[in-house]
Amino acid sequence: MTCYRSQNSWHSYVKNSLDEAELHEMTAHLLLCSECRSLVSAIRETAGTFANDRVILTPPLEIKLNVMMAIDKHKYKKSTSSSHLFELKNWGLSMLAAGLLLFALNLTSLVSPLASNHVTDLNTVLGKQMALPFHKMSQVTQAVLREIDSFTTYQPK
Amino acid sequence: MHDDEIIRSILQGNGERYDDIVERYQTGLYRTAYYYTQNIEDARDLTQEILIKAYNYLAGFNQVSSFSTWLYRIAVNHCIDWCRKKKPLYVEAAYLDNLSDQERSPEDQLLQQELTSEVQAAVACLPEIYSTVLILYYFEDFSPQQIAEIVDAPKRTVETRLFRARKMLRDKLHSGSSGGEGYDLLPKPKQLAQLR
Repeated sequence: MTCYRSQNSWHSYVKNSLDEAELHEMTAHLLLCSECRSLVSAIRETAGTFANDRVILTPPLEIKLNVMMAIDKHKYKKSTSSSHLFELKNWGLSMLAAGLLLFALNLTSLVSPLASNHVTDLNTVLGKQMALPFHKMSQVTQAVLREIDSFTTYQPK
Repeated sequence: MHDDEIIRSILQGNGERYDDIVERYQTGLYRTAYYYTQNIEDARDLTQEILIKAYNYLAGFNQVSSFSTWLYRIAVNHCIDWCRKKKPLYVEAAYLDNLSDQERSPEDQLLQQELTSEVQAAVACLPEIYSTVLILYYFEDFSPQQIAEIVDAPKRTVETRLFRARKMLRDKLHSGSSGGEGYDLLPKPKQLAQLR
């Protein structure tokens, strides 16, 4: 290590904040260089002087009181409504993904007609496949509506 | 409890935990602000503003650096902004809690207080880039690497500024003690001689 390089680490050396390799280099250099050693010694003395003469100031009590009164303690509280909307959004996306998966699964039955080049049958098969989930969904919907009707028209004895 | 744990708790909605952060850092921030302002009331106001600003920006603390360096970055920038906007109308000597030193005579204590005030005033008169590194290194005990993170400069730059700042401070203090109008004939404490 040269004097030019060592001067970039004098103050770090005094604060013991060098890593192992840098510390080893600096220590070795200071053993050989009296000028750098003298400068480091002066820095250390100044640091010691200022540490001993550091102003001891007691902060006034109102600092804490004023700060705690000024801040919004609820600033980082997550609001309940926004979390519910977030959950609903997640549900909606999940249902959409399930629908697309169902659609994709039904489309796999079209592979054999395509492979055997029965292109003329493709439109018919495709139409049937697309109609199938919608037909099933409408059956389920009608069943639910019937149930709801039976509850609304129910009359106690 | 570690700073990161307190911050995490605050960001989960427990704002009252900021009380611990204030308790932990208000003394250092108050002292730093005093070194910039040389006035107790301005130091108090600045400390409050710094702590409030830090709370409002807490979500931006990414925990890559330590909380103390993040907080002091806010503090230093706020103090420098204050210095640029208004110069102190008067310099108020702080009531020093370390006055009652039984080992020193009253005369020595008074001289010590004078020297401390002189040093503080000289530091405050330096250009901001030098006074900042001096305050953080010698008075707040940060390492050059930490100071580099606070002032957002390379460590080598901080080392250079520290070297120059110390020299400027020494020259300023020595020129103040060696003559001119109002030259004080009382001998200065030996500490002044250590700034060689």
